[in-house]
Amino acid sequence: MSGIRTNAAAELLGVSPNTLRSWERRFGYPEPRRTAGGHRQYELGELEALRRALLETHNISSAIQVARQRGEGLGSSSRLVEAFDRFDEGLADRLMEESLALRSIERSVEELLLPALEIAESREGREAEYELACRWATGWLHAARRVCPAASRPDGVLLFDSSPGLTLEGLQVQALELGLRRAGFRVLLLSVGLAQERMTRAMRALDPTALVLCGTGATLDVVGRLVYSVRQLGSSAPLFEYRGAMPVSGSHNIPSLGGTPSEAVRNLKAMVDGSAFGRIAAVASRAGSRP
Amino acid sequence: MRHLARVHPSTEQRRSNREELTRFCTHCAELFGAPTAPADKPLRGRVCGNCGLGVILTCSSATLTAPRAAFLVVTADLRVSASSRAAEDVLAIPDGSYGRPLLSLLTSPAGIGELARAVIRAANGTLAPSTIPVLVASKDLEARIGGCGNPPAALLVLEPVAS
Ligand SMILES: [Zn+2]
Repeated sequence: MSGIRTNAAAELLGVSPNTLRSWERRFGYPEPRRTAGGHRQYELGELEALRRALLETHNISSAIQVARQRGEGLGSSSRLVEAFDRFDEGLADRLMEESLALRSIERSVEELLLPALEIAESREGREAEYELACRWATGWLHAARRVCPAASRPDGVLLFDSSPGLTLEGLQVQALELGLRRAGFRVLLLSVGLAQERMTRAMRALDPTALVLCGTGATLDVVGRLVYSVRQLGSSAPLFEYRGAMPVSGSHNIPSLGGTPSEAVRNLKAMVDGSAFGRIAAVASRAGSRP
Repeated sequence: MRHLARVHPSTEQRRSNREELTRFCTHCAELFGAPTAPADKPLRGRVCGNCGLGVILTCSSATLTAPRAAFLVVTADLRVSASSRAAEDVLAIPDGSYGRPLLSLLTSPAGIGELARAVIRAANGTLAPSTIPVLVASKDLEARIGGCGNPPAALLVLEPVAS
């Protein structure tokens, strides 16, 4: 794998080259190789691990600790990014197949596909590679969805999506849809902006047990209209949000299902199956009645 | 009640939040004003350009009123995930000792149940701060506790007891 020069590595992490060198002195990480000419060359895998850890932690030394612990495990998403960079969808397919030989679809999506897309999204000047990555991942998730077993639970989940098309955010929603289907839920994914009269038949067919706001494109107005429409149609299903879908402003008390597909599926299963559901559903229902 | 559902508000909310939210460094505790980074570039400005050792989080400006404050960032499982340089002096904890239980560092005359409740409420997204007396290394202080993120956590700002 070719190394990444200091300026590009710093750009990828959103820091200055000086900060990157100061981390190397203080923490010994990320640790670059040196070229014959003495230039630093960073491993994409280390940078990727650190990039993710920076978003998940509250200080640099913890981020570095987390990135170190992940170590080798993240190398494969770098390889997937390399496949995007070569515009080689066949290689991307093979890497996913290799992953599926070792781990579940859920883990392959969360530990390989989505992290690779995060890297692809973060790079300036690589828009074509990112678009290819999004198109390939959309196809892959659709293919996985088509071979999901039939729903094994009576519970229906209605996902309201406000993410823009062909983006990592939209793929996070598709990954949630896949995870819910594989967990046996009946699932319907609709646009958040759908007018009430267009929603009636869908609501009647699904009779949802839970409603989930997804994507970060909805304003409070849109959410308010949506909740009003749903309640007008007679549904008292509790409303949840996924990955910070509620706009930050305004008064709301909508419980979060979490930030990853598996976390959201786990929470939804626990809520539906366990006694916590009644309590959380009551909170969500109250929140939904005063958007 | 205000919640921190995400720290990069959409364009429509940005103006109204400008007065209410502030970004801060978890290490040097400098303040950087209201969030402005677009939601699709979360890593832009994630690391503090001032010290290079803290990450930039967002909280209510009612919780963090001045720069270089002594504070702890605490997760919903009551573990310290960051501390400002000033807090490291107050609590005598070295850099890098993260993950330790909050209650091993401070207690509250109001009861640890009350303290835990305030921290968990904030860590679950309640931005508006509440104040609770705390006992730190035999010193009576006050902790102003409000939500911060992302990822979501409670921010405990340690200050002398207001007379
Ligand atoms: Zn700083």
